[in-house]
Amino acid sequence: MSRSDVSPADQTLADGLETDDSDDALVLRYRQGDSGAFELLYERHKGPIYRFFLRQLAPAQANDGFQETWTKLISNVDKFEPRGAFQAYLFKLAHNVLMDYHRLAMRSGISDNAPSDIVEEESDVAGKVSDMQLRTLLHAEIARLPLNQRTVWLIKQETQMNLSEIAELTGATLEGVKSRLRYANEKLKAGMQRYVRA
Amino acid sequence: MSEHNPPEHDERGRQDDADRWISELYDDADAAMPPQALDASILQAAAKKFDTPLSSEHRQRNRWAGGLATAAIVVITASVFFSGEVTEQMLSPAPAEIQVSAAREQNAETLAKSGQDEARNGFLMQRVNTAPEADTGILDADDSQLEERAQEVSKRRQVSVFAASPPSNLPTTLVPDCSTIQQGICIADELVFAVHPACSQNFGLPPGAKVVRMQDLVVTFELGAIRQSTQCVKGQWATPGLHPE
Repeated sequence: MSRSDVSPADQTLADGLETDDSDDALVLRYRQGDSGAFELLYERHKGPIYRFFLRQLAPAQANDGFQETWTKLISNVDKFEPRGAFQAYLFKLAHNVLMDYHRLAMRSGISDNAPSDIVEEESDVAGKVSDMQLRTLLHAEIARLPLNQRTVWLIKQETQMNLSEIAELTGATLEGVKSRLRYANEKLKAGMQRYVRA
Repeated sequence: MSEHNPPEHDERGRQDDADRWISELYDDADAAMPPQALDASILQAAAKKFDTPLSSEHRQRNRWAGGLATAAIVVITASVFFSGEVTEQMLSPAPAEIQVSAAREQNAETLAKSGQDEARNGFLMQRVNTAPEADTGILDADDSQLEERAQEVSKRRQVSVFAASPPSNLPTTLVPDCSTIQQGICIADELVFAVHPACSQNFGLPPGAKVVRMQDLVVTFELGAIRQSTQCVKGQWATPGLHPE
């Protein structure tokens, strides 16, 4: 399931633009110098891309990764081939940026364990938990997933992409993506059961 | 107990429903969005690629909130008394306006010679709404040195140091939420802050406008023969008013 990411304020902005335009059409308009088209593209996709980073990196790094992704899009917008897969293209850029961060972290001897501040929230939980706590705990469980499972699960959650598209985006096989998604779901369920059974 | 309880069904159904429950729980979670400063920075970069203006909606929204995105800001409590190595480089006994002007000229020269990245090294600093002498100076440091010096100031003077959307190669430890900075500037009456002179358009002015003066929480810009000012009033930046030079 994926969510709509247009907040009321953003919707006001979007209403002023041509919301019926496809992503591809907006990219083409932007290439012709229409910055308004880019703004709409940005409003449509900023949430999923931002959360993709936020759930996998520390906040400061997430901001950097998010900005780097959009900067790459702006720089390479002329190379984008409009064939109805803009979101996949954007997530491919984001995925590449994320992998760069993890490679850098590995070289620096920093283990992959996304947002540590979220993981630490668990210690505050005992017995009954509120909805807000459950959401926080879910973020912690997501952060605990292995990188490849976490990435696939988040892309599936934040986008409309099918598994084949996710496989192409992440450079994995279709079966590999299915497997990662299955394992991710199992771990999340197992993790969350501990809290809701309390 | 939470309203979010995993549904009970048969083995297979429970698994599917549990997946759905987690998915819905994730969707219900905070819909985190990027800080407005990031929005503004990215949209400005996009507009700059083709030299086109932002939509009027975004110009308005970015005027102060996101408009500070590419400006580097250092906020230091005004109780700080500058001294030592940092002080020597940051402060000058010359009148504030002269210093501001010099900063602008130096920055323009740097821009012409080395491009915007190099110009980012010049930071205009002023102590606001404090002593009549209005200490002003230039922090002329490499990006790599900026954090070190800022931290040095912070440690020695126990001050808070912030920077909003600084140059890309500036360490991220100096990047806070931009809204915090705005509040920091506006709410407190006695603050020291620094704004990069080349980023004057980020105050909501057209490109080409330049910071002329910052004093008593009034920021004044010049655009050709027009001088424009805005002031911090009750924690908010007032809409700039235009008046002929």
